[in-house]
Order: sequence, then structure tokens, then C-alpha cells
Amino acid sequence: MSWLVHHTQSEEYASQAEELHRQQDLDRAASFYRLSAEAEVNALNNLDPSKTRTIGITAVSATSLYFKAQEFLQAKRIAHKWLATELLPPFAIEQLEDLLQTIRYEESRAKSGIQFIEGEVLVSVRGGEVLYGAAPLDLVLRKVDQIRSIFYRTTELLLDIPFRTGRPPTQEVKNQCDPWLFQAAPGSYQFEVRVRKPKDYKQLSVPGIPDSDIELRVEQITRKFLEVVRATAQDPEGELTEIVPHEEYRGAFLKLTRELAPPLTGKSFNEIEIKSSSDIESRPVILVPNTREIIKDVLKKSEPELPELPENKITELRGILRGLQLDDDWIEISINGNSQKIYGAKEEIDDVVGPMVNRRVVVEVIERFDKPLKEKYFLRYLQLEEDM
Amino acid sequence: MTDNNPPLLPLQNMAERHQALTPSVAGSYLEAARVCLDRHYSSPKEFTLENDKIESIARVEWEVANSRVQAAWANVDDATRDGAYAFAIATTELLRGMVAVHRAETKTGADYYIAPVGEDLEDLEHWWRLEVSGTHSDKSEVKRRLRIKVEQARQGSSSLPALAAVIGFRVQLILLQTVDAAS
Repeated sequence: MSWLVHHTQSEEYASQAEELHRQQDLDRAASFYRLSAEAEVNALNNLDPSKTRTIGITAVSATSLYFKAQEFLQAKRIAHKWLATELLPPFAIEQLEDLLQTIRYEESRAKSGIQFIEGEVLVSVRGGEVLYGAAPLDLVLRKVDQIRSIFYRTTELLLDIPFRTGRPPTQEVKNQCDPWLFQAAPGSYQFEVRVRKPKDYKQLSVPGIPDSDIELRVEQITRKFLEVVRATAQDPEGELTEIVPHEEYRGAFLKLTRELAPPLTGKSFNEIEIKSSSDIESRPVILVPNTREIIKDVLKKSEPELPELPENKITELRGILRGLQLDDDWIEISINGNSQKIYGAKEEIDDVVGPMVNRRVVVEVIERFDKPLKEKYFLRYLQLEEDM
Repeated sequence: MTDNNPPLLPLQNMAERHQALTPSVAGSYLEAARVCLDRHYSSPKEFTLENDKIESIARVEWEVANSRVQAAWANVDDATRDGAYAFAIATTELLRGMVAVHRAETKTGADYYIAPVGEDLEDLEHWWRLEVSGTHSDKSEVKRRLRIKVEQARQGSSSLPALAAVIGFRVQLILLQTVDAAS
């Protein structure tokens, strides 16, 4: 039989396996993936060594199918066998090496017994100072922190927890949403985030929500995270309003996504892509410098109109953010060694402003000439100086 | 660019040349294409082709769809999708000398597999993916769709090289672009 006959047979088995996987019949799905992998190996054995492209595609397919069948050892054997030849085109070498990395992770995860809720979020940061597989630590830490903040807010939204201002999430929420960072295959700078399954769903009791419902909602965190980020970036005034009807939560997601997006200069990085790494049909969400401006405009629409009074003037201050007391409605910046309080900060949220403390910031303020010197600045927009 | 005697877009008898199109599938796609064309023009009409940004002109000839055909293809989305398949496959034949050899599975980032005429089709050595879209909107939408289709082909789970084709029925524009593997 020819390569084509075996390959077609493999496709048929794989298609049945996917259907069973969708129906959550995982054992039968694994059996069909195994049959599909075996057919693909037979297809490989029927190829002339000159057919390098076909060999590459089929070797990757066979390895991937054994991996999906949970036959890790067999998957590694196939990958190593073909990597040891000189027959593979570069794309196949790259994909087999990525697969081996994924298999090693799955093996170690299976041994550890640690479980994660369904879904992974793959984040790629590109452009500017970002290299292939490497990025400034400071930038990576900030992006990881911002992603974690959106995960916490998503969890709180799912659990109907009252909107939080000026304080971090509670330990109970952190117990339900425990994001882990994974290294992803290099390509620009990438990392993967998964949420660890809580050891005990009963640790959190939310008034009005039965324990069984909490479990169901926690299982949705990753899916909801992607849904929220997509709507915030792509349709902040339409779809976002539908999936996050609560105005304060909506505002928080808009502000967090605005900070996650690349700065207008694109100097440090100029694109961040967020997608589900397990669902290929899910389109990635791409944040570009312009995303920040679009979200800023949306946020401005919800702000009260500034009366055109002679005593009001919009101006800009630059300094180091030294402190914040959002419950008391102010932040404090140091300008050339002098402290200056800026009021009107209670609409800001801790997870956006907090990470800016002790960094140089640019603050757009309303300067009110009808107020005493120490109380004359009112916050309009705060951002890191390096993002300008 | 103008051409005094532009070539004919090979929309007729496609099943004779394209292994992936049976006579009934090819006939169905052609019906859909005729309905799309009738919405804006009468035959014949010249279309601008952009093949990796190189412009040329092709002549399109078709029979007016009768009321039964119009009724069968009253769903605009279906007609646009299938009419675009006919146009895209005919365009790759005309411009690249490639024919449709296999319908693509979902998640591959393609609608059809194509290959150069006369090549051995027993393996994937000469196969390409073809990602297709059609629209009745303006030129900017045609260009926007091309960007999306190129990205979709890049993201597909297949390692085969790819072409993206977008058909602008109203603006008489066909864009065909080789998908660069680099992201």
C-alpha cells in the first residue's frame, strides 16, 4: 500500500479520535489516536528518502498522534529516530524538538500529580528590544504581573465577588486561581500560563453560590480570561459590555489591558499576542500600540465631561511615583525631590497603579487654580515615562 | 494596466482539470459564481488580478443565472463562499499552473490543496494549501480579508506552503498572495 492509503487511513482514525475527545470519551479517543499514529508510521515506512517534505510532515504527525494517545515513550522514539536522520526539512526538525519539550513537560506533570484546570494561555511579546527567546527581565516581570492581575479579576468576576479597590485579592481568591508560568517553545519571547486546580474548592465560600457551582466557575477561569481579553481588545464597547455587564469590572479590564498593550513608541516591544495554545481554531488576540489609544478613548467616554472653566487647566507632571492611598483618593509623586499629592485617584485600581510605585511616571492632571497649592492637581491619566 | 486581449478565467469544465472537483461540485461552484456576478454585472467583464502584487487582467464570461438557480443560491454567504472557491481555483490555474487536488480538513488553515499540473499526487511533495475568501464589499475590505487569510494560513496546523486568495466580486478584483512562512 502507498503512503497516501496509510495517510488517509490515519486521517480517518484521527478524525474519529477528535470527535470522541470532544465528547470527553478520553479512553476511546486515545485508542483511535494510537491507531492513527500506527497508520502514520506505516505511511512513513512507504516513503522514498527523496520525499523529504512528506517525511517531515508525516514524522511530526506520527509523533504528535502518539503524544495525543498518551504514548509518550513511543512518541519520543519516533521523534528521535527521525531527528537522527538527515532527511528532515528544517520546519520538521523545529516542530519535533518543540514536541519533545512538550512531551517532557507532560511526563513530569503526570508524575507530580499536580492538576491544572482546562486550557492554557500562550503569551508572545514581540518587537522593540525583544529578541528571539529572550526579553528584558523587567519587561517580562511586568507582563507576567499584568496577566496575573487579569486572571485574579476574572476569577472575582466569575465568583460574583464585590469589586475590589485599593487592595490585593484575598488569599481565598488566590487559592482558587493559582496561575503557573511555563516556558513555551521560543518564538519572539513566549511564556505559557495555566491555572492550577485548587486542592480544595471548599476553601472558598461565596454567599449565595453553592460549593459545586464554585467548582464549575473556577474551571472556566482560563476560557473566561481569553474571552474578556479578546472582547476588551477587539470590541470594548460592544462585546465587552455583553460579557462583563458590571461597569467597575469592565473598567478594570479596560485599564489592565491598556497597560498590557505595547507603548505607543513600540521601543521596548511593539506587539503582544495572547491565545489558547490548545485550541488552534481560537484566533489570537493581538495587542499593538494603537490598542492603548483605542482603550484610552473608550475610558475617556465614561469619564465625566470636564467643564471649561478658566480656573481649570490640563497639564503634565513628571516624577517618581512614591506612594498611593487610593481609598483616600490620592497618589504622591516626587518631582525633583519635592513631594506632590495628586487627588482624584479613587477611580484607579491597585493592580494598575501599584506596579508603577518607585518608577518614573508621567501624570496628566487638571490644575485647578481655585484650590490651594497643595490640593490643586487632579488625576486624569497616569503612565510610565518609559512607555511614552 | 490594460490588456487588449486578456485571457479567459477558466471557470468552465473545471472538473476535467481539477481532481478535487467532481462534475457536481464544480457545477455547483460555477452556479454560485454566476449568482455572485449577476448581483453586480452582466457578462463579459474584466477582473483585475494581483498575483503577489503583480497586476494583470482576466476576462470573465458567464451565463445569466435563471430564477431557479437564483432561488437555490439565495443564501448570500453560501453563494459568496462557493463562488469564491470557483474563482480562486480558476485563478491559481491561470496564474500559477496549479490545480485543486484535495479538499482540506478543518484546522489546516486552508480550503483546498493544490499542486502544479502533471505532478505526482501520491505524496505531499508538491502540494500547497489554498485559503479562500470572497466578498461583495469595497476594495479596502478585499485587502483586509487578504491580510486575515494570510494570517489564517500561517496559523494553520499544516506545514505545507500556502496561497491566499480573496475575490472581490463587486470591485472586480482578485488578490492572490504567497503566504510567507515567517510570522
